[in-house]
Amino acid sequence: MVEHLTPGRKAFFAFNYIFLTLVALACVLPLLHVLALSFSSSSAASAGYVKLWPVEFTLSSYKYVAEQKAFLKSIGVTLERVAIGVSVNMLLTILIAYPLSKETGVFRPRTWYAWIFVITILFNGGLIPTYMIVKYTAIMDTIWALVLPAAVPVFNVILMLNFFRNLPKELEEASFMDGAGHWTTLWRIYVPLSLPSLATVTLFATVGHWNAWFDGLIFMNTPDHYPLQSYLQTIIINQDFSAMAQADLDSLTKISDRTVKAAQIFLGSLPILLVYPFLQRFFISGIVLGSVKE
Amino acid sequence: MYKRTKAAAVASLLCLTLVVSACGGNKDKNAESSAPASSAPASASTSDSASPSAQPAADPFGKYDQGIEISTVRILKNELKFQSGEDLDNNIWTRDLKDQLGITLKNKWVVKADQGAEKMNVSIASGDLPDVFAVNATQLKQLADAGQILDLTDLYQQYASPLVKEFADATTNGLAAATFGGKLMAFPAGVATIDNSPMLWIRKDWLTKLNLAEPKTMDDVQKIAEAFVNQDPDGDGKKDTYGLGLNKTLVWTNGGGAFGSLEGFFNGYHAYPQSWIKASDGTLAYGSVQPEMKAALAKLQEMYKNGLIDKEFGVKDENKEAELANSGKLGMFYGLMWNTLFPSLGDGRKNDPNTDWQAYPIVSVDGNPANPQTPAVSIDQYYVVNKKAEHPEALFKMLNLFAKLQFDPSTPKDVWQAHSKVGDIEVWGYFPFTVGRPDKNLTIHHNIVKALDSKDPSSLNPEETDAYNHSLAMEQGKGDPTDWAYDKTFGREGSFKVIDQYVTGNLLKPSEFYGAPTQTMADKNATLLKMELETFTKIIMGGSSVDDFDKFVSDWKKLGGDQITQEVNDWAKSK
Repeated sequence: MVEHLTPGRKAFFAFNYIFLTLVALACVLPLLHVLALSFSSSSAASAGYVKLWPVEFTLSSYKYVAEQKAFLKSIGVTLERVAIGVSVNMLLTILIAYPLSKETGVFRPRTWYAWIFVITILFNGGLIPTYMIVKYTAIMDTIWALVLPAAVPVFNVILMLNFFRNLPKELEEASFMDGAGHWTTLWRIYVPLSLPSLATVTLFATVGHWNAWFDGLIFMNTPDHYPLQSYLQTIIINQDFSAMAQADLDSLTKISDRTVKAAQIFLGSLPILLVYPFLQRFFISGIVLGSVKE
Repeated sequence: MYKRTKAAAVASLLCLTLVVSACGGNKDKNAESSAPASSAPASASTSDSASPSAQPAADPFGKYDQGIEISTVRILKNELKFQSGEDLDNNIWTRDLKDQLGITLKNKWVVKADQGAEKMNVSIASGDLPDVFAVNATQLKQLADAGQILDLTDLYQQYASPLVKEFADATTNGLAAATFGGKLMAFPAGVATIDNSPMLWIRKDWLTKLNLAEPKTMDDVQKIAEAFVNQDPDGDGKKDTYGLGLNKTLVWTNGGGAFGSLEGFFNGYHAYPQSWIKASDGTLAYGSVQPEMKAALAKLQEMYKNGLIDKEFGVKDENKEAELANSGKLGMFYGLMWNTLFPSLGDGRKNDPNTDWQAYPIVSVDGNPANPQTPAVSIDQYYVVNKKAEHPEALFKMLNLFAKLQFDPSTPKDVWQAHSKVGDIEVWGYFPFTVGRPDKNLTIHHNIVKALDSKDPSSLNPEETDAYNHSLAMEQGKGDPTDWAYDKTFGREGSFKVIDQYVTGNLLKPSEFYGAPTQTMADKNATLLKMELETFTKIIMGGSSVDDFDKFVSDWKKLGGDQITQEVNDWAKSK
């Protein structure tokens, strides 16, 4: 392969590698910087001495974080949310994608249903109506407020739907011939055959739930119930000093603790970083299979 | 939700009457005598303004004998710590509320400060409001316009204790800002604006090293900045220091960073960015578009060109810019009184123990003294009462209780301490409706200087004692960077000494406009402020000439500035 390269192709490869390396560095360096900050002393951090390697190495930030009940609690909430949320997402995605992948002849109101789902991508009720629905369905301040409003990820449904469509019809016909109904066909034929794309969609759902912070903020009534990202948002956003309350001077000295923030940010992104490498091969093949194969 | 609370309240009231009447003779009398007292406010709240004559004499500290429940929401300022077994619903303050006033507070939701406004907006928009709660100026106007909150004018007169009234009066423009059409719609919890006056921070050890005097005029500021750049104040033989720190927001007034803000610099040129000032014809005018700004911008452009200002200030927020200070590369900046505490310049002292930042009053470009600008109001929160609340006067009873336990000299010191700060736990923060002496910080400075002179801290309150101990440690030569940072704020030579000079010299120039944002401000101000920031930044960095300021002024007027000025002047006439 290598000996067949023309000069133009070589140049292309060289450019490609350099470009992609730069893009990769742009993604990795900030993370390394945060990691270095989290292991540095606070005086070195606030003097800007820390670049990509810890200065005056210390574990004190991590010790402090380990004692922060709110941080640990919020990790618990996020794990619960991901566990319940992703299960609900996946179940509904599969159950909706299967009938919608049928021809209109087989499933008559298919177009009608498809539109209903697509419309929810284009339009939504907005913040206040969503808030009121959550409030009057009495799921406010419970884990369900984080799970149910986004229970059907329509984009994922469309991905799955297209994947189901591309499976050979003969498989389905054969299973019907053997006496299977729709349920058996779905769970024993379609789902096992769709593992790569299911893995992809699971990854989407997991990342979505892991990163969401705004709903936690709006639907949860105490910081104890915040998921991780909502909690992180409270600590990294700069405080507004335009109206200082009486005894805020004391708290001012505590705010600027960048090393602690860095430690929390890093710990917060660690789990999802660990998941990526394992699901990544599915991620690539899943998307390509779902879109191109016909 | 509201209905349910009401039903619960009625039900519990019924239960209570049953129990009490079942317990025979003398207790029956109790129930009778207290019944009218508690039902009177309830009936008063149904009609908008309570008429004094319809009620028995108002008792600002009176207890609700049957016990009532007040719903509220909490926006927590700091990370609150609790003693074991206690939490937000069970602590010394909630017990006091119950024992002394018969009030049980119910928090509908609790959030941290940064998201408070957002969460409150959702609550307001969906009509999901508690009985008594805290809002910001914009939300207050919205609620007042929508008629969702109660007119507090009479209740304030009847129920607020003299101490609470004293605090409200001392809050700069506080009551005025909470009044709409002659009706007091909220209680303003804020501070005196003197805490927000700009000052000049300089590395005193560098001044000494280079044999420079403290600045008296803007020329001195320029000369000091030049010396800090060219005469190698850090002694490393490299030209790697800056004379004047600047952060990317340029000014602090509209939510910018305080460290390296330029109000003090502009004030030296008698220009008042983003402040409303009285023009020569008596009308109100916007400071940023006045001709005085131009000379100041020209000077900044020159200083930037000569390398006195950090080349990268345009992308640095105050924390990032403070890195220069903490790594010993910056000698001077304009800021506010808390800058040694935040962004923790004490860290710079850890890196180099010689570092000694000192606050100086701002100086003038000519013979006229410089007037430090301050905001018109510095109100943290407005406490409002839902129109549907059954016990609207409870707000004032709660404020009275807090003021009494925290500020009344007759309160025993141990009681005071237990409600204020236990160890490093800030107990006072548990209370949702706090008030304070608006000029408290300046008083701390006065009191601890007195105590340092007499070596007698016995008359100080716990907070003052804290500050005293920091300063004492510095005077005894054993202070750590935290002691230093506090001493530089409250101590003998602290930033409050500068504020004291401003106050005694009657130099401060507060903005003249304290109304809620006008319609055009709400629509256009964000855009106008952005244009202002971009224009000024470009001029300072030399990207455009100083004459672009004139174009900015005419653009500003065209794009809504004239209309805003009109509205502000209409407001001034109507107040």
